[in-house]
Amino acid sequence: MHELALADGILQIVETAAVNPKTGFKRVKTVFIELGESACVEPDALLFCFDEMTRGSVAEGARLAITRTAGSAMRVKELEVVDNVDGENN
Amino acid sequence: MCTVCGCSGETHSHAHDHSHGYRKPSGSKNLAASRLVQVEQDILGKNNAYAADNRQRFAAQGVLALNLVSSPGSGKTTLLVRTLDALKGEHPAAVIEGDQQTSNDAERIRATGVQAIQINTGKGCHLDAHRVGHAFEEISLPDGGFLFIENVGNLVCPAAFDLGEAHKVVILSVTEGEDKPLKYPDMFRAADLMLLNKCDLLPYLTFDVDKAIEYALQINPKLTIIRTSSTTGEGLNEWLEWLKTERTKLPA
Repeated sequence: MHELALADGILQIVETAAVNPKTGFKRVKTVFIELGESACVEPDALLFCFDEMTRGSVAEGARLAITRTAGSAMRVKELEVVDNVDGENN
Repeated sequence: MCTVCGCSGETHSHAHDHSHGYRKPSGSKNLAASRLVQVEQDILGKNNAYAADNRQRFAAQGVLALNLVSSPGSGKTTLLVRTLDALKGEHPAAVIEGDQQTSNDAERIRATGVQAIQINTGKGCHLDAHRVGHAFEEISLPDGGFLFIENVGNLVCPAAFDLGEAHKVVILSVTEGEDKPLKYPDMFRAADLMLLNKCDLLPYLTFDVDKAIEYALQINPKLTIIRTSSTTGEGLNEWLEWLKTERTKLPA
């Protein structure tokens, strides 16, 4: 179940970006990650843990978009974010 | 229209576990609010940074740190007790014990006179570099010592978490299946040494040693393999020699 620790790692990256003055945002809609084929991670388990882990956070309800890559890297690539809670800017 | 990537998307699944290039949404009122933030960060970046710190501290003290990994019940702690007894008086050593609960293993180690710090991971399935770093702060190990980090008994998760060790040592006991290296390849790939333990029991088992070794080397051709028994002492000298050799390889 170390997918839970990885989900927490992703959430920490998201939360850091949320309060960073350069990137700050209210909510994240999509988290794009790269997951190496030989990283010891089960994508389904990670998706499940991510949903659990993000409840009540800026990433609640966000989608985790996983791209499989060669090698063992696990990276958060980019975030699709919104600046207000409704996701509607005026 | 797909609300994620803007593709027209009638024909493909929207699970998006594949890449087809993100296109910034445009022209849709609903999506005008969203923007992309570049992140490019390693998910294990925090652990890896702590691991790098640990590695630096171990190197500064000339400590050879080993991460001992196996399934529960492989005889890690007993083998470690034998190892510490053999090193005693000659080489300083200390132990960090990882278990979900109890300090039973640390107590077994302390009975040998060696300092042991117990980390209880609670629900956690692995040790992480941050907790190991703090445990090491409590340890007074003279320069040039051995630090044995006995990870939580688990052949899966500890493979992914670097603790700053010089080597992962995987212990496989002959009371398990010989196909464990095939079933849990990540761990056998991550290790540099495999101790095939409890070899004194072989006469009573159908365990196929040659097959186990063949499977392990199939997963990791660079793996060094030593047959050991805490009961008879088989392989203990070879294991001690390996330890001493590896310590001489540490950067001066």
